Amino acid sequence: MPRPLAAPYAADVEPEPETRAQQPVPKRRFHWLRTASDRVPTKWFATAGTVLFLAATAAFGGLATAEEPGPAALAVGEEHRNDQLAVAVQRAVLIDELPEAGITVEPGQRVLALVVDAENLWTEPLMTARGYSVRDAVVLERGSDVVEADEVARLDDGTFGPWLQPGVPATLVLAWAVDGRSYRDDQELRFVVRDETLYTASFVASGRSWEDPVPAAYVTVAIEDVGAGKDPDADAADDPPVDPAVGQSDEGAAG
Amino acid sequence: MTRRWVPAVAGAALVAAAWGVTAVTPAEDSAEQPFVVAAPVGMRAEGRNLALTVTGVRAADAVVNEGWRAEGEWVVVDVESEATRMETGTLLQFVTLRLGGRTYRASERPPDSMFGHPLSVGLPSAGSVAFELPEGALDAGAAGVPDELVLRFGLNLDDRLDSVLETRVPLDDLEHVGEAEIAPVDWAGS
Repeated sequence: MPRPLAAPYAADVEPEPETRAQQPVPKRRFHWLRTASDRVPTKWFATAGTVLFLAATAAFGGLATAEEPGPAALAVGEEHRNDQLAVAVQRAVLIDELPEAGITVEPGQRVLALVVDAENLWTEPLMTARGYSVRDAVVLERGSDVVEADEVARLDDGTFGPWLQPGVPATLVLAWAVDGRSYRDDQELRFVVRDETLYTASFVASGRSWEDPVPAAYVTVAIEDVGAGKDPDADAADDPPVDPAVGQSDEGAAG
Repeated sequence: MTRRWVPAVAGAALVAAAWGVTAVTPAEDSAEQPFVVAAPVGMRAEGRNLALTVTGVRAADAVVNEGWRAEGEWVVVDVESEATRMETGTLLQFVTLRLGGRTYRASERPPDSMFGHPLSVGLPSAGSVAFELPEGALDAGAAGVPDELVLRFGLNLDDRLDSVLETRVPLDDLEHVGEAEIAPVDWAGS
């Protein structure tokens, strides 16, 4: 095969002496390559290609199934971002009760409060009602299950179930009513941070919503037990929302 | 033989026609778009069971309302509003601001604002709504910031096929103040 092919090309690569002077220099530079490849049987190319492919495959770990990247471990205070939200878990507090966050406890129960910095990265406001945004994004791991927060409020003014406006960061308190004996000071808890996918409804439904949370990362936080919440050496951020102006304007017409 | 170009031209015409049909087909949700009523600042506008006048718009670095105070990038909008046909369940619930491709919802944080307030027939209420925006969202000259705020008012969280009153405020016309009071809701004119 190489021989018959080489003949017509030979006129190009080995020109007559008078035309050789007019040939551009770079073309001559690969003369040896053209000559060498002419001598290699075509079948060898296939073999060489296969060998190269196998070598490259082996270099990247062979044909075994690549391990899926699992949920990443986040440090306390480290931010996790997706297309919907940026969240950073700041601290976990165990407290007797926390009505400022809108949560009521039954006898024997205490409140597990998680302080989370959140920012809406989407273009529309996000609500924090059950099953939405932050409540789906940061959940408490309990055994093999995860539990959504019972209530959410802003840390600064105690607004219940606040909306997250696009691009406006907010510090929130996610509160769970938990069995008082199941949790203690310094206990390490794992919270799962989840990503959601934006769906556009069609046909009989309408609008866009974030659905289908999947675990993306987890944060391990040690609980601080603040007892009744009147810990004297607690720093300012320890306190539950202090502003009593939490009542929202649903008292009817003014005037 | 002489008409060999006919199928080619007919084919091209059909492709062009198909493109035209695609181009003029309305979007899936266009059949349920809200009916937009222009409501320029200072002028009364009427929609379905809602009449509203925007009496003032200003930007502020802090807002106060009934002992509540918050800092940030705020836009406070003063409005007078009333229901026109029916009072039951008539609340000013749909209040949004659009700027730079983002939609903001009136803040539920001020304890006494017109947002979510019940409206009466024949007795207009006056008050304010406030929007919390990201830092720098109102900076003129910032990349990608269009030059106007688009405010929308309606009665339903779901604005489909309902009327919404729309007020456009050029950013240049926006007065900036240090601290703005969100006026507690009162009867208009009192």
